[in-house]
Amino acid sequence: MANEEIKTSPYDGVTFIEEWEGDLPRKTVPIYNIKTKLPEGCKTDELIIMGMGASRTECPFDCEVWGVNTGYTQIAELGGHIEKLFIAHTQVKHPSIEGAYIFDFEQVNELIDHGVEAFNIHRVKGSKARLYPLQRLIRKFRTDFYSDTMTYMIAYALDMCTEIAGDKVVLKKNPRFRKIKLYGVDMMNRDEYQWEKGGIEFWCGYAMGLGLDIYISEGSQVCRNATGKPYGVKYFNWKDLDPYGLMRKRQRKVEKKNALKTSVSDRGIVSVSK
Amino acid sequence: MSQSEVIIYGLGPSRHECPFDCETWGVNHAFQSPETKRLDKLFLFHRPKENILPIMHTDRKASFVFIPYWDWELLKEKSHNGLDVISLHKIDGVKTRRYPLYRLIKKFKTDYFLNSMCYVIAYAIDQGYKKIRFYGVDMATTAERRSEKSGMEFWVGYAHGMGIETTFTRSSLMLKTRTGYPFGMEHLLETSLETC
Repeated sequence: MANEEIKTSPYDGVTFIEEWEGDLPRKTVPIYNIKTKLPEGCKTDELIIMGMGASRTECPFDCEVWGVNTGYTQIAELGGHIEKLFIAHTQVKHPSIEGAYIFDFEQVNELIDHGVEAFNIHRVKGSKARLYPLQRLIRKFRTDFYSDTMTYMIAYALDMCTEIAGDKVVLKKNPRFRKIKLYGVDMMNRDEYQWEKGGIEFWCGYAMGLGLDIYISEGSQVCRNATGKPYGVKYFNWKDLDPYGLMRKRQRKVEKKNALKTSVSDRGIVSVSK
Repeated sequence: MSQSEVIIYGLGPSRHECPFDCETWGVNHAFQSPETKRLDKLFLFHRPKENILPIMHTDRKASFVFIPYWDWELLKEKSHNGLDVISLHKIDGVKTRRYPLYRLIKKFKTDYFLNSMCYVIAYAIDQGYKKIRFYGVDMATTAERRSEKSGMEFWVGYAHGMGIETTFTRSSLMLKTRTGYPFGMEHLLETSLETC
């Protein structure tokens, strides 16, 4: 802490940490102007789950906000507030700065001291974050399908809204949240799109099946078809593209020229010839 | 046989595990496979012109050629002999029922259908089944895994949220992460590999 100076800003519960100037290269971002308490006038039955994608800038911060990883620095940039923070990592080496690390657990501890509730699925030495109740939620929802940190967040929100009735998970009579809004959960990177999006959609589906409303910000790929229309539904009018039929005429000409004859022999072998 | 259960029969390799012991719904050309011992409903979401199968040219001069691979005559015959065919489109000569797309979009408040199976799961949820068993729904090809699996997982999640139980074959990639362990628990994979 020798190289850090922490100041309290005029905002209640605000932390300011100056740039690290020690010998150890560390990625430290100042988190000034971040509110760690829910401002007055916020909707109490809605929740914002805040990712780190580009659409985070659309976030209205009009209800409780949960952040992820180092997303609190982005929330600080946007002048927003954060109530819970979720991390599913121990320490991660910085991909481009040698010797630097992604997470600054001291900074996370500062947020915790100012009222943010932080969860991690791992116990990290020196971190004050609470352990995420993974085993309990796996038993409750009967699935261990958590493909990224967002899925842990949605599952935790559902845990707060549901109870066990018989052998089923049902919505509480007065659930903590009626609507979950996702901002910055864009899932645009290749790995996110291929491997992580499905998990988020599973938990979004789970929430919708329970009767909760889900809002996904514009610009996100979550729960969206590539064509904008359901599978198999014609999504463009050919006449809009080719009003005079010129392309169609040319296509037929090419098809006729390249036509292949197919035949199937008695042994079931398909042969193709021009 | 239980009326509260339905089998959704895909065309992946794990279809061989299907016991056909309750109502069975299939998609696409499941009707023409000799392995399909029982088929109560067939769901079609393609137009006849779209149903083509890419095969490698035998002399390797051409990369791919396309030939029709659906036996439409057989489908016409089966649809008139009791097979319940549900489709988004009208198909000449085939007795079909229209898929209630707009009613289901209104009911479930989403139009997120990424492949044929999404429609089938939504229909099963709508019909009030208590358990959905999947066979042959492996989602193991690259294209399926990249662009269709997540849509199905959405609908399976929807079913779970409504208290509907689902089961998959062991080889299916549905509801599985890249490592098979929850995110952030990849070290368990390394541990399990070390003990092998």
